[in-house]
Amino acid sequence: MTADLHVEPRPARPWVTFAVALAALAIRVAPNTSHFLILKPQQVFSGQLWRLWTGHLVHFGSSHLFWNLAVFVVTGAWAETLAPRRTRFFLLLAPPFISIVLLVFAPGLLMYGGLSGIAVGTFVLLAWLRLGSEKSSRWFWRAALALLAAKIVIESFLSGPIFARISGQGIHDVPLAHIAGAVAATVAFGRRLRI
Amino acid sequence: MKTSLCIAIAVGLTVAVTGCLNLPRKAEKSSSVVAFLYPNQANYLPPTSIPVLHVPLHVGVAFVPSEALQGRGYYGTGGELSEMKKAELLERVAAQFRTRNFIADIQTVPSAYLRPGGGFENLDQVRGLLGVDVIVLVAYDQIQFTDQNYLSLSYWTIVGAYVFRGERNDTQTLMEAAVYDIPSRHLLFRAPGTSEVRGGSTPIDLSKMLRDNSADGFAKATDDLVGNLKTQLDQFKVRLKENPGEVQIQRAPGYTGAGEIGAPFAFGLALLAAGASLIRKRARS
Repeated sequence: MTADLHVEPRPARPWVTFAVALAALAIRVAPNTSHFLILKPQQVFSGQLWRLWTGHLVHFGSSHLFWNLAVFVVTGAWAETLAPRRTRFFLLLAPPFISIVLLVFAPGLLMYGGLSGIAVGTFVLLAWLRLGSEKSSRWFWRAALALLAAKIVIESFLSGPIFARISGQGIHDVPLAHIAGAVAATVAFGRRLRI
Repeated sequence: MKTSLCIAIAVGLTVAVTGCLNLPRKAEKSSSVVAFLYPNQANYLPPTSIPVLHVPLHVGVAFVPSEALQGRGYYGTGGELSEMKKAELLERVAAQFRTRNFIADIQTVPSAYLRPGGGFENLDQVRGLLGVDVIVLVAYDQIQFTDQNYLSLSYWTIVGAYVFRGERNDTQTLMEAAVYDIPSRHLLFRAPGTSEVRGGSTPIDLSKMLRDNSADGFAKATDDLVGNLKTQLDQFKVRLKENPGEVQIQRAPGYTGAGEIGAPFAFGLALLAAGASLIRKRARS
Protein backbone atom coordinates (compact mmCIF):
# COMPACT_ATOMS: atom_id res chain seq x y z
CA MET A 1 0.00 0.00 0.00
CA THR A 2 2.75 2.37 0.98
CA ALA A 3 4.60 1.48 -2.22
CA ASP A 4 1.57 2.61 -4.24
CA LEU A 5 1.54 5.94 -2.45
CA HIS A 6 5.24 6.60 -3.08
CA VAL A 7 5.67 9.46 -5.46
CA GLU A 8 8.94 10.15 -7.28
CA PRO A 9 10.18 13.67 -6.52
CA ARG A 10 9.72 15.91 -9.52
CA PRO A 11 12.97 17.06 -11.07
CA ALA A 12 13.71 20.71 -10.38
CA ARG A 13 12.99 23.14 -13.14
CA PRO A 14 16.06 25.08 -14.27
CA TRP A 15 14.40 28.49 -14.03
CA VAL A 16 17.49 30.31 -12.75
CA THR A 17 19.53 29.14 -15.74
CA PHE A 18 16.79 30.23 -18.13
CA ALA A 19 16.43 33.58 -16.33
CA VAL A 20 20.17 34.23 -16.71
CA ALA A 21 20.04 33.26 -20.40
CA LEU A 22 17.01 35.51 -20.98
CA ALA A 23 18.73 38.42 -19.25
CA ALA A 24 21.78 38.01 -21.51
CA LEU A 25 19.49 37.91 -24.56
CA ALA A 26 17.56 40.99 -23.41
CA ILE A 27 20.77 42.96 -22.93
CA ARG A 28 21.88 41.98 -26.43
CA VAL A 29 18.53 43.12 -27.87
CA ALA A 30 18.74 46.43 -25.97
CA PRO A 31 22.45 47.24 -26.39
CA ASN A 32 22.12 50.69 -24.82
CA THR A 33 21.90 48.98 -21.45
CA SER A 34 25.32 47.36 -21.80
CA HIS A 35 27.01 50.69 -21.08
CA PHE A 36 25.66 50.59 -17.53
CA LEU A 37 26.17 46.85 -17.01
CA ILE A 38 29.53 45.87 -18.46
CA LEU A 39 32.34 45.12 -16.00
CA LYS A 40 34.57 48.21 -15.79
CA PRO A 41 37.09 48.11 -12.95
CA GLN A 42 37.12 51.90 -12.62
CA GLN A 43 33.34 52.04 -12.20
CA VAL A 44 33.28 49.10 -9.78
CA PHE A 45 35.84 50.82 -7.57
CA SER A 46 33.67 53.95 -7.62
CA GLY A 47 30.77 51.99 -6.14
CA GLN A 48 28.89 50.43 -9.08
CA LEU A 49 29.01 46.96 -7.57
CA TRP A 50 26.20 45.54 -9.70
CA ARG A 51 28.71 45.33 -12.55
CA LEU A 52 30.36 42.40 -10.73
CA TRP A 53 27.23 40.38 -11.61
CA THR A 54 25.92 42.06 -14.75
CA GLY A 55 29.24 42.25 -16.65
CA HIS A 56 28.89 38.55 -17.46
CA LEU A 57 25.56 39.16 -19.20
CA VAL A 58 26.97 41.66 -21.71
CA HIS A 59 28.23 40.36 -25.05
CA PHE A 60 30.16 41.96 -27.90
CA GLY A 61 28.33 40.30 -30.76
CA SER A 62 25.61 37.82 -31.68
CA SER A 63 28.13 35.03 -32.33
CA HIS A 64 29.81 35.73 -28.99
CA LEU A 65 26.42 35.43 -27.25
CA PHE A 66 25.28 32.40 -29.25
CA TRP A 67 28.22 30.11 -28.43
CA ASN A 68 28.30 31.15 -24.79
CA LEU A 69 24.57 30.50 -24.45
CA ALA A 70 24.79 27.20 -26.36
CA VAL A 71 27.06 25.75 -23.68
CA PHE A 72 25.60 27.63 -20.70
CA VAL A 73 21.93 26.73 -21.30
CA VAL A 74 22.60 23.01 -21.85
CA THR A 75 25.05 22.50 -18.98
CA GLY A 76 23.36 24.97 -16.61
CA ALA A 77 19.88 23.51 -17.08
CA TRP A 78 21.20 19.96 -16.69
CA ALA A 79 23.18 20.82 -13.54
CA GLU A 80 20.26 22.76 -12.05
CA THR A 81 17.95 19.79 -12.65
CA LEU A 82 20.41 17.40 -10.92
CA ALA A 83 21.46 19.66 -8.05
CA PRO A 84 19.24 22.73 -7.92
CA ARG A 85 20.46 24.25 -4.65
CA ARG A 86 24.13 23.84 -5.46
CA THR A 87 23.75 25.17 -9.00
CA ARG A 88 21.72 28.20 -7.86
CA PHE A 89 24.29 28.88 -5.17
CA PHE A 90 26.95 28.74 -7.88
CA LEU A 91 24.98 31.03 -10.23
CA LEU A 92 24.57 33.57 -7.45
CA LEU A 93 28.16 33.70 -6.23
CA ALA A 94 30.28 32.71 -9.22
CA PRO A 95 29.78 36.00 -11.16
CA PRO A 96 31.22 38.27 -8.44
CA PHE A 97 33.93 35.70 -7.69
CA ILE A 98 35.09 35.65 -11.34
CA SER A 99 34.85 39.45 -11.54
CA ILE A 100 36.96 39.92 -8.41
CA VAL A 101 39.57 37.48 -9.74
CA LEU A 102 39.72 39.54 -12.97
CA LEU A 103 39.98 42.83 -11.06
CA VAL A 104 42.83 41.48 -8.94
CA PHE A 105 44.80 39.39 -11.42
CA ALA A 106 44.15 41.20 -14.74
CA PRO A 107 45.25 44.79 -13.99
CA GLY A 108 45.29 45.88 -17.65
CA LEU A 109 41.64 45.02 -18.15
CA LEU A 110 39.62 48.14 -19.05
CA MET A 111 36.32 46.32 -19.44
CA TYR A 112 35.04 42.77 -19.61
CA GLY A 113 31.92 41.10 -20.90
CA GLY A 114 30.79 37.54 -21.58
CA LEU A 115 29.05 34.60 -19.99
CA SER A 116 31.78 32.09 -20.74
CA GLY A 117 33.31 32.11 -17.25
CA ILE A 118 29.90 31.09 -15.86
CA ALA A 119 29.34 28.64 -18.73
CA VAL A 120 32.66 26.95 -18.03
CA GLY A 121 31.66 26.84 -14.36
CA THR A 122 28.29 25.16 -15.02
CA PHE A 123 30.03 22.72 -17.35
CA VAL A 124 32.62 21.82 -14.68
CA LEU A 125 29.92 21.59 -11.98
CA LEU A 126 27.91 19.23 -14.19
CA ALA A 127 31.02 17.15 -14.87
CA TRP A 128 31.70 16.81 -11.11
CA LEU A 129 28.05 15.89 -10.49
CA ARG A 130 28.08 13.20 -13.17
CA LEU A 131 31.50 11.86 -12.19
CA GLY A 132 30.25 11.50 -8.65
CA SER A 133 27.05 9.68 -9.53
CA GLU A 134 27.37 7.63 -12.73
CA LYS A 135 30.25 5.23 -13.28
CA SER A 136 29.39 4.19 -16.83
CA SER A 137 29.92 7.65 -18.33
CA ARG A 138 32.99 8.65 -16.37
CA TRP A 139 35.25 8.33 -19.36
CA PHE A 140 33.10 10.85 -21.24
CA TRP A 141 33.25 13.47 -18.49
CA ARG A 142 37.00 12.94 -18.05
CA ALA A 143 37.46 13.46 -21.79
CA ALA A 144 35.23 16.57 -21.69
CA LEU A 145 37.24 18.04 -18.80
CA ALA A 146 40.45 17.28 -20.70
CA LEU A 147 39.01 19.11 -23.71
CA LEU A 148 38.25 22.12 -21.50
CA ALA A 149 41.75 22.05 -20.01
CA ALA A 150 43.22 21.94 -23.53
CA LYS A 151 41.04 24.91 -24.55
CA ILE A 152 42.22 26.98 -21.58
CA VAL A 153 45.89 26.12 -22.20
CA ILE A 154 45.64 26.92 -25.92
CA GLU A 155 43.86 30.22 -25.41
CA SER A 156 46.39 31.18 -22.71
CA PHE A 157 49.16 30.90 -25.27
CA LEU A 158 47.17 32.42 -28.12
CA SER A 159 45.57 35.33 -26.32
CA GLY A 160 45.49 37.66 -29.32
CA PRO A 161 42.53 39.81 -30.27
CA ILE A 162 39.52 37.69 -31.13
CA PHE A 163 37.51 40.43 -32.77
CA ALA A 164 39.27 43.19 -34.66
CA ARG A 165 36.79 46.00 -34.12
CA ILE A 166 38.84 49.00 -35.06
CA SER A 167 42.24 49.56 -36.55
CA GLY A 168 44.81 48.96 -33.85
CA GLN A 169 42.29 47.83 -31.27
CA GLY A 170 40.74 44.51 -30.49
CA ILE A 171 39.00 42.51 -27.83
CA HIS A 172 41.11 39.89 -26.13
CA ASP A 173 39.97 36.55 -24.84
CA VAL A 174 40.46 36.21 -21.08
CA PRO A 175 41.26 32.58 -20.13
CA LEU A 176 41.55 33.69 -16.50
CA ALA A 177 37.74 34.02 -16.43
CA HIS A 178 37.45 30.37 -17.45
CA ILE A 179 39.93 29.24 -14.80
CA ALA A 180 38.04 31.27 -12.17
CA GLY A 181 34.73 29.75 -13.35
CA ALA A 182 36.13 26.22 -13.05
CA VAL A 183 37.50 26.98 -9.56
CA ALA A 184 34.15 28.47 -8.46
CA ALA A 185 32.33 25.35 -9.70
CA THR A 186 34.74 23.06 -7.87
CA VAL A 187 34.20 25.02 -4.65
CA ALA A 188 30.42 24.95 -5.19
CA PHE A 189 30.57 21.16 -5.70
CA GLY A 190 32.24 21.08 -2.30
CA ARG A 191 33.15 17.43 -2.09
CA ARG A 192 36.32 15.44 -2.25
CA LEU A 193 36.82 14.83 -5.94
CA ARG A 194 36.97 11.34 -7.31
CA ILE A 195 38.01 11.52 -10.90
CA MET B 1 -29.65 101.19 -36.38
CA LYS B 2 -29.34 98.04 -34.27
CA THR B 3 -29.09 95.85 -37.40
CA SER B 4 -26.38 97.96 -38.95
CA LEU B 5 -24.39 97.84 -35.68
CA CYS B 6 -24.59 94.04 -35.66
CA ILE B 7 -23.44 93.89 -39.27
CA ALA B 8 -20.54 96.23 -38.50
CA ILE B 9 -19.44 94.07 -35.54
CA ALA B 10 -19.72 90.87 -37.62
CA VAL B 11 -17.72 92.39 -40.46
CA GLY B 12 -15.16 93.75 -38.01
CA LEU B 13 -14.72 90.34 -36.33
CA THR B 14 -14.51 88.54 -39.66
CA VAL B 15 -11.90 90.96 -40.93
CA ALA B 16 -10.01 90.62 -37.66
CA VAL B 17 -10.02 86.83 -37.81
CA THR B 18 -9.43 86.28 -41.49
CA GLY B 19 -7.23 89.31 -42.00
CA CYS B 20 -4.71 87.96 -39.55
CA LEU B 21 -4.77 84.61 -41.24
CA ASN B 22 -3.69 86.07 -44.54
CA LEU B 23 -0.29 87.22 -43.25
CA PRO B 24 2.78 85.42 -44.61
CA ARG B 25 3.21 82.08 -42.85
CA LYS B 26 6.67 80.76 -42.50
CA ALA B 27 8.70 80.12 -39.39
CA GLU B 28 12.24 78.85 -39.10
CA LYS B 29 14.48 77.77 -36.29
CA SER B 30 18.02 76.73 -36.94
CA SER B 31 21.54 76.32 -35.69
CA SER B 32 24.65 75.99 -37.79
CA VAL B 33 27.91 74.14 -37.16
CA VAL B 34 29.80 76.51 -39.45
CA ALA B 35 28.41 79.62 -37.75
CA PHE B 36 29.35 78.16 -34.37
CA LEU B 37 32.86 76.99 -35.25
CA TYR B 38 33.93 79.71 -37.66
CA PRO B 39 32.13 82.94 -36.73
CA ASN B 40 33.02 85.93 -38.91
CA GLN B 41 35.48 83.83 -40.88
CA ALA B 42 34.89 83.97 -44.63
CA ASN B 43 37.92 81.96 -45.79
CA TYR B 44 38.85 79.44 -43.22
CA LEU B 45 41.99 77.34 -43.58
CA PRO B 46 41.54 73.61 -43.07
CA PRO B 47 43.72 72.00 -40.37
CA THR B 48 46.93 70.48 -41.68
CA SER B 49 47.91 68.17 -38.81
CA ILE B 50 46.86 64.51 -38.72
CA PRO B 51 44.32 63.87 -35.95
CA VAL B 52 45.50 61.55 -33.20
CA LEU B 53 42.69 59.59 -31.57
CA HIS B 54 43.36 58.16 -28.13
CA VAL B 55 41.33 54.95 -28.06
CA PRO B 56 39.10 54.30 -26.18
CA LEU B 57 37.64 57.72 -26.88
CA HIS B 58 36.04 60.16 -24.48
CA VAL B 59 33.16 61.68 -26.45
CA GLY B 60 30.80 64.58 -25.82
CA VAL B 61 27.57 65.23 -27.68
CA ALA B 62 25.98 68.68 -27.81
CA PHE B 63 23.45 70.79 -29.67
CA VAL B 64 25.02 73.70 -31.50
CA PRO B 65 23.68 76.96 -29.97
CA SER B 66 20.90 78.28 -32.16
CA GLU B 67 20.81 81.58 -33.95
CA ALA B 68 18.16 84.26 -33.48
CA LEU B 69 14.66 83.01 -34.32
CA GLN B 70 13.49 83.93 -37.78
CA GLY B 71 9.71 83.76 -37.59
CA ARG B 72 7.40 85.72 -39.80
CA GLY B 73 3.65 85.92 -39.64
CA TYR B 74 1.14 86.23 -36.88
CA TYR B 75 2.16 83.16 -34.98
CA GLY B 76 5.38 82.53 -33.17
CA THR B 77 7.91 79.91 -34.11
CA GLY B 78 6.93 77.68 -31.25
CA GLY B 79 10.04 78.84 -29.43
CA GLU B 80 13.42 77.25 -29.06
CA LEU B 81 13.81 73.51 -28.52
CA SER B 82 13.44 72.90 -24.81
CA GLU B 83 16.43 71.62 -22.82
CA MET B 84 14.45 68.51 -21.94
CA LYS B 85 13.74 67.79 -25.60
CA LYS B 86 17.37 68.45 -26.52
CA ALA B 87 18.58 66.08 -23.82
CA GLU B 88 16.18 63.40 -25.07
CA LEU B 89 17.36 63.76 -28.69
CA LEU B 90 21.03 63.86 -27.67
CA GLU B 91 20.59 60.71 -25.61
CA ARG B 92 19.38 58.90 -28.73
CA VAL B 93 22.41 60.08 -30.68
CA ALA B 94 24.72 59.14 -27.79
CA ALA B 95 23.24 55.64 -27.70
CA GLN B 96 24.77 54.95 -31.13
CA PHE B 97 28.23 55.54 -29.69
CA ARG B 98 27.77 53.80 -26.35
CA THR B 99 27.58 50.37 -27.92
CA ARG B 100 30.98 50.75 -29.60
CA ASN B 101 33.88 49.20 -27.81
CA PHE B 102 36.29 51.98 -28.86
CA ILE B 103 34.29 54.52 -26.85
CA ALA B 104 35.32 54.80 -23.20
CA ASP B 105 32.42 57.08 -22.30
CA ILE B 106 30.03 59.54 -23.90
CA GLN B 107 28.37 62.40 -22.12
CA THR B 108 25.78 64.91 -23.20
CA VAL B 109 27.00 68.49 -22.96
CA PRO B 110 24.38 70.94 -21.64
CA SER B 111 23.57 73.92 -23.87
CA ALA B 112 24.83 76.30 -21.21
CA TYR B 113 28.40 75.12 -21.89
CA LEU B 114 28.34 76.40 -25.49
CA ARG B 115 27.80 79.98 -26.60
CA PRO B 116 26.78 81.15 -30.10
CA GLY B 117 29.88 81.60 -32.25
CA GLY B 118 32.06 80.12 -29.50
CA GLY B 119 34.23 78.27 -32.00
CA PHE B 120 37.00 75.84 -31.12
CA GLU B 121 38.03 78.04 -28.17
CA ASN B 122 34.67 77.20 -26.62
CA LEU B 123 35.18 73.50 -27.42
CA ASP B 124 38.63 73.65 -25.79
CA GLN B 125 36.91 74.91 -22.63
CA VAL B 126 34.42 72.03 -22.79
CA ARG B 127 37.31 69.63 -23.30
CA GLY B 128 39.04 70.99 -20.21
CA LEU B 129 35.86 70.90 -18.15
CA LEU B 130 34.48 67.50 -19.16
CA GLY B 131 37.58 65.70 -20.41
CA VAL B 132 36.19 64.91 -23.86
CA ASP B 133 38.49 64.65 -26.90
CA VAL B 134 35.86 64.14 -29.59
CA ILE B 135 32.63 66.07 -29.85
CA VAL B 136 29.46 65.30 -31.78
CA LEU B 137 27.86 68.63 -32.72
CA VAL B 138 24.19 68.34 -33.59
CA ALA B 139 22.73 71.17 -35.67
CA TYR B 140 19.22 71.60 -37.06
CA ASP B 141 17.17 73.63 -39.46
CA GLN B 142 13.40 73.47 -39.26
CA ILE B 143 11.01 75.43 -41.46
CA GLN B 144 7.26 75.44 -40.99
CA PHE B 145 4.93 76.62 -43.74
CA THR B 146 1.21 77.16 -43.34
CA ASP B 147 -1.21 77.54 -46.25
CA GLN B 148 -4.95 77.68 -46.41
CA ASN B 149 -7.20 75.32 -48.33
CA TYR B 150 -10.77 75.80 -49.55
CA LEU B 151 -12.14 75.02 -46.08
CA SER B 152 -10.76 78.35 -44.93
CA LEU B 153 -13.72 79.98 -46.71
CA SER B 154 -15.80 78.75 -43.79
CA TYR B 155 -13.94 81.15 -41.49
CA TRP B 156 -16.37 83.83 -42.68
CA THR B 157 -18.96 82.17 -40.51
CA ILE B 158 -16.65 82.53 -37.44
CA VAL B 159 -17.88 79.15 -36.18
CA GLY B 160 -16.05 77.60 -39.13
CA ALA B 161 -12.73 78.78 -37.67
CA TYR B 162 -13.37 76.46 -34.74
CA VAL B 163 -14.60 73.50 -36.76
CA PHE B 164 -12.97 73.25 -40.19
CA ARG B 165 -9.32 72.41 -40.76
CA GLY B 166 -8.56 75.11 -43.29
CA GLU B 167 -4.87 75.38 -42.32
CA ARG B 168 -2.36 73.10 -43.99
CA ASN B 169 0.94 72.83 -42.20
CA ASP B 170 4.16 71.58 -43.70
CA THR B 171 7.15 71.09 -41.39
CA GLN B 172 10.53 70.31 -42.94
CA THR B 173 13.38 69.39 -40.65
CA LEU B 174 17.05 68.82 -41.36
CA MET B 175 19.40 67.61 -38.64
CA GLU B 176 23.09 67.03 -38.90
CA ALA B 177 25.66 65.47 -36.60
CA ALA B 178 29.24 66.52 -37.21
CA VAL B 179 31.94 64.64 -35.31
CA TYR B 180 35.07 66.68 -34.56
CA ASP B 181 38.40 65.82 -32.98
CA ILE B 182 38.84 68.87 -30.75
CA PRO B 183 42.66 69.00 -30.43
CA SER B 184 43.31 68.76 -34.20
CA ARG B 185 40.10 70.66 -35.25
CA HIS B 186 39.45 67.86 -37.77
CA LEU B 187 36.01 66.83 -38.98
CA LEU B 188 36.08 63.03 -38.62
CA PHE B 189 32.70 62.32 -40.23
CA ARG B 190 29.17 63.64 -40.46
CA ALA B 191 25.66 62.26 -40.81
CA PRO B 192 22.40 63.96 -41.84
CA GLY B 193 18.79 63.25 -40.94
CA THR B 194 15.68 64.70 -42.58
CA SER B 195 11.94 64.58 -42.13
CA GLU B 196 8.78 66.12 -43.51
CA VAL B 197 5.58 66.29 -41.50
CA ARG B 198 2.28 67.44 -42.98
CA GLY B 199 -0.91 68.14 -41.09
CA GLY B 200 -4.07 70.19 -41.02
CA SER B 201 -5.69 72.23 -38.28
CA THR B 202 -8.28 74.82 -37.48
CA PRO B 203 -6.94 78.35 -36.97
CA ILE B 204 -7.78 78.04 -33.29
CA ASP B 205 -5.59 74.94 -32.89
CA LEU B 206 -2.87 76.19 -35.21
CA SER B 207 -0.25 77.00 -32.55
CA LYS B 208 -0.65 73.66 -30.84
CA MET B 209 -0.57 71.82 -34.17
CA LEU B 210 2.61 73.61 -35.18
CA ARG B 211 4.27 72.75 -31.88
CA ASP B 212 3.21 69.11 -32.24
CA ASN B 213 4.43 68.98 -35.84
CA SER B 214 7.70 70.57 -34.81
CA ALA B 215 8.29 67.94 -32.12
CA ASP B 216 7.24 65.19 -34.52
CA GLY B 217 9.58 66.59 -37.19
CA PHE B 218 12.53 66.55 -34.79
CA ALA B 219 11.72 63.02 -33.62
CA LYS B 220 11.52 61.68 -37.19
CA ALA B 221 14.63 63.55 -38.32
CA THR B 222 16.48 62.10 -35.32
CA ASP B 223 15.34 58.59 -36.35
CA ASP B 224 16.84 59.21 -39.78
CA LEU B 225 19.96 60.77 -38.27
CA VAL B 226 20.51 57.82 -35.94
CA GLY B 227 20.30 55.35 -38.86
CA ASN B 228 22.73 57.40 -40.95
CA LEU B 229 25.06 57.87 -37.99
CA LYS B 230 25.27 54.13 -37.55
CA THR B 231 26.25 53.72 -41.21
CA GLN B 232 28.78 56.54 -41.00
CA LEU B 233 30.35 55.07 -37.84
CA ASP B 234 30.78 51.73 -39.63
CA GLN B 235 32.22 53.47 -42.70
CA PHE B 236 34.58 55.47 -40.50
CA LYS B 237 36.00 52.25 -39.06
CA VAL B 238 36.51 50.90 -42.58
CA ARG B 239 38.19 54.17 -43.60
CA LEU B 240 40.57 53.91 -40.65
CA LYS B 241 41.60 50.44 -41.75
CA GLU B 242 41.94 51.30 -45.44
CA ASN B 243 43.68 54.67 -44.93
CA PRO B 244 45.78 54.35 -41.80
CA GLY B 245 47.50 57.67 -42.58
CA GLU B 246 44.24 59.62 -42.39
CA VAL B 247 43.90 59.31 -38.63
CA GLN B 248 46.51 58.13 -36.15
CA ILE B 249 45.23 55.75 -33.49
CA GLN B 250 46.90 55.58 -30.10
CA ARG B 251 45.68 52.90 -27.78
CA ALA B 252 45.46 53.62 -24.09
CA PRO B 253 47.28 51.07 -21.93
CA GLY B 254 45.00 48.16 -21.15
CA TYR B 255 42.58 46.08 -23.14
CA THR B 256 38.97 45.00 -23.43
CA GLY B 257 38.41 41.40 -22.42
CA ALA B 258 35.78 38.93 -23.48
CA GLY B 259 34.81 35.59 -22.04
CA GLU B 260 34.24 33.42 -25.07
CA ILE B 261 33.40 29.72 -25.22
CA GLY B 262 33.86 29.70 -28.98
CA ALA B 263 32.56 27.43 -31.69
CA PRO B 264 35.53 24.94 -31.71
CA PHE B 265 35.02 24.00 -28.05
CA ALA B 266 31.23 23.76 -28.42
CA PHE B 267 31.62 21.57 -31.51
CA GLY B 268 34.24 19.44 -29.77
CA LEU B 269 31.90 18.90 -26.85
CA ALA B 270 29.00 18.07 -29.17
CA LEU B 271 31.16 15.54 -31.06
CA LEU B 272 32.24 13.95 -27.80
CA ALA B 273 28.61 13.69 -26.66
CA ALA B 274 27.57 12.18 -30.02
CA GLY B 275 30.40 9.64 -29.76
CA ALA B 276 29.39 8.71 -26.21
CA SER B 277 25.78 8.26 -27.28
CA LEU B 278 26.81 6.01 -30.19
CA ILE B 279 29.02 3.85 -27.98
CA ARG B 280 26.21 3.49 -25.40
CA LYS B 281 23.74 2.42 -28.11
CA ARG B 282 26.15 -0.19 -29.47
CA ALA B 283 26.85 -1.51 -25.97
CA ARG B 284 23.10 -1.95 -25.37
CA SER B 285 22.50 -3.73 -28.66
